[in-house]
Amino acid sequence: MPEANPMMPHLARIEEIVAETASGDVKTFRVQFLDPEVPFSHLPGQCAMVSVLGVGEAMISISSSPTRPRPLELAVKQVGRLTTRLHEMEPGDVIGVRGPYGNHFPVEDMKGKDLLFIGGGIGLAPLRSLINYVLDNRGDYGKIDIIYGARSPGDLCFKRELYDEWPAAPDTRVLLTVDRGDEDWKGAVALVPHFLEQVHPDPQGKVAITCGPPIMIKFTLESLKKLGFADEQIVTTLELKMQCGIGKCGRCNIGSRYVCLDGPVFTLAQLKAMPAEY
Amino acid sequence: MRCLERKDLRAFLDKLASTASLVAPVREDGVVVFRPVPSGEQVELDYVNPVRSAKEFFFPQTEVMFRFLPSPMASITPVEPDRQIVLFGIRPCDLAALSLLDEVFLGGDYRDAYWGRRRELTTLVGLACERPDESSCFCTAFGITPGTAEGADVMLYPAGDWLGVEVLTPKGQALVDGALPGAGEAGEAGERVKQEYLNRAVPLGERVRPGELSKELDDRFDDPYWEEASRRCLGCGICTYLCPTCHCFLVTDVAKRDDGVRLRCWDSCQFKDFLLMAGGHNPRPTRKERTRQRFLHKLNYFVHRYGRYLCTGCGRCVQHCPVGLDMATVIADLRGVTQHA
Repeated sequence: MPEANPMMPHLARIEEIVAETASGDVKTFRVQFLDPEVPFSHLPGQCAMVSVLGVGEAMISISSSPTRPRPLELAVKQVGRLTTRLHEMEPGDVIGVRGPYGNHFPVEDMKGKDLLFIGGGIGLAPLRSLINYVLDNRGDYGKIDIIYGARSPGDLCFKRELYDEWPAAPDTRVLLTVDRGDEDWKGAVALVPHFLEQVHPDPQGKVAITCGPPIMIKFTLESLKKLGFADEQIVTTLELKMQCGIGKCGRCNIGSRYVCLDGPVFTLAQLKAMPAEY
Repeated sequence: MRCLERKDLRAFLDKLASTASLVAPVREDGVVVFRPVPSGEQVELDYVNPVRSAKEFFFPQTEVMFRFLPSPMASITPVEPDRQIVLFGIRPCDLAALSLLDEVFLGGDYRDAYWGRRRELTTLVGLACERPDESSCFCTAFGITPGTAEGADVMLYPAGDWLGVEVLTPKGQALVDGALPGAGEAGEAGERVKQEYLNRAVPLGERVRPGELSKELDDRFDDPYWEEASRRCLGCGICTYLCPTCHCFLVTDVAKRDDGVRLRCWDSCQFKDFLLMAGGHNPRPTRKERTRQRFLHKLNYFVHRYGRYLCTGCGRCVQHCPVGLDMATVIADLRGVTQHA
């Protein structure tokens, strides 16, 4: 029996591919491990190292909830070399997956609290894992507000959940905004941080969880501070380039923290104690 | 401690070469490097330290992690190191560097299988430093001495026409039992020689001791020094390639239609695309951030994670950095002391 090798991916078959956006630049890949015995159980916020054999690996957040473990769902925006090749793949194609890696959203500490989700674009992917986890453990959590924005209505991801499933869940609101509307758009037209200030949530008893493009996160954190949220009430996720995912390759450090081991989930209080090099 | 007559050293090396792959210093194009050698004859015995450290025998510059067939056939075949090596002539600074990298590769929740296997397959024969280089060696800054045997399986202490042979591990015992049967005891003379090496002064090391520098650096992320120092950096990366403790790597695939390999290759935090992400964002866009990363990693970040400095004072960056932006200089600058006698 050879010793366990954490750099060795598990083969996984793409069962289904869902185009999330109108342009198709975000797709959700539903994958099953070829060997169903592969030990892979994650918590919301954790990531997987995804291989396209012949291209390489990239760290991708897991967008499915551990309460719905299989197929594993990975929502991927086409940005670079690996994600472009992944987007060219079809159902039946085989990729590699190893992990899960990193810490997770503080699902225990959040119990009994109201949750405010603030997502932008593909940044909803890791939040979706947590949202569905919370909805599947509905009794453990308070009211849920989901603020989500994208550049245009066509760029909103996970539309079935946004429009149907989540608004129908008990004590759950979905508040959508876009940077630019179109003829059919009846919702808000505002940047996410501005929209957040219009919604004006009361920080009392709440945890705010935000993920999106770096510029959106930056201004969202400022808006949350304006609204009176304490640093400990604000949770976000970071991403940096990674090669190993297990704290060896020396790539994803921010000061003495490694995003792959100590992140990707950080509170604003933790971020403020780290050098601003991300 | 055993005793090996200097005149029998080549025969000892021949014996080592006959039982496993012997890797030892050789002189090649005017520089000394570690190379596999077929016998003791080629081994260079007059050297300060090989120009490249020994890390490449545990963490090769390019390493095949596994072979694969791409989708849709998709299969993965593990590749495991299997070559038994005796590494002869490794100095205390490089031995200490391997122990530091053991923390990285073998510590924590994930054990690196490649590093671990190569370490298991290798027997280390250390060699105490008879004459540390006055202008570049600074091991004592980090508590290492010309005689520190940390991490060695066998340590040799040269003493004129003989060498003290200290066995430190079962692996070392097996090696000595096989290659030095009947070697005499060095007795008190052996202990005395060892103590001399442990107490030997390394002047540059005394001058650039980091002291409490690690703690002070907690508050010096925004120090203007980083900008100033980085202005002379050429971004060549030689410091990271020659450094025995630098271990950053990238992972890449090389594939043909019906065969592929996944490689990990040395990388350097000094290269501008090191942290460049697919969307174009780069958290360390200029030399300032990259210079700061290299030195803070070794002098502060690593200390936070592992409790030790990530430098062993081998002096390779001192010798080879084309603009003198080396660890001894930077410690001296940051501490406001002079590195020159």
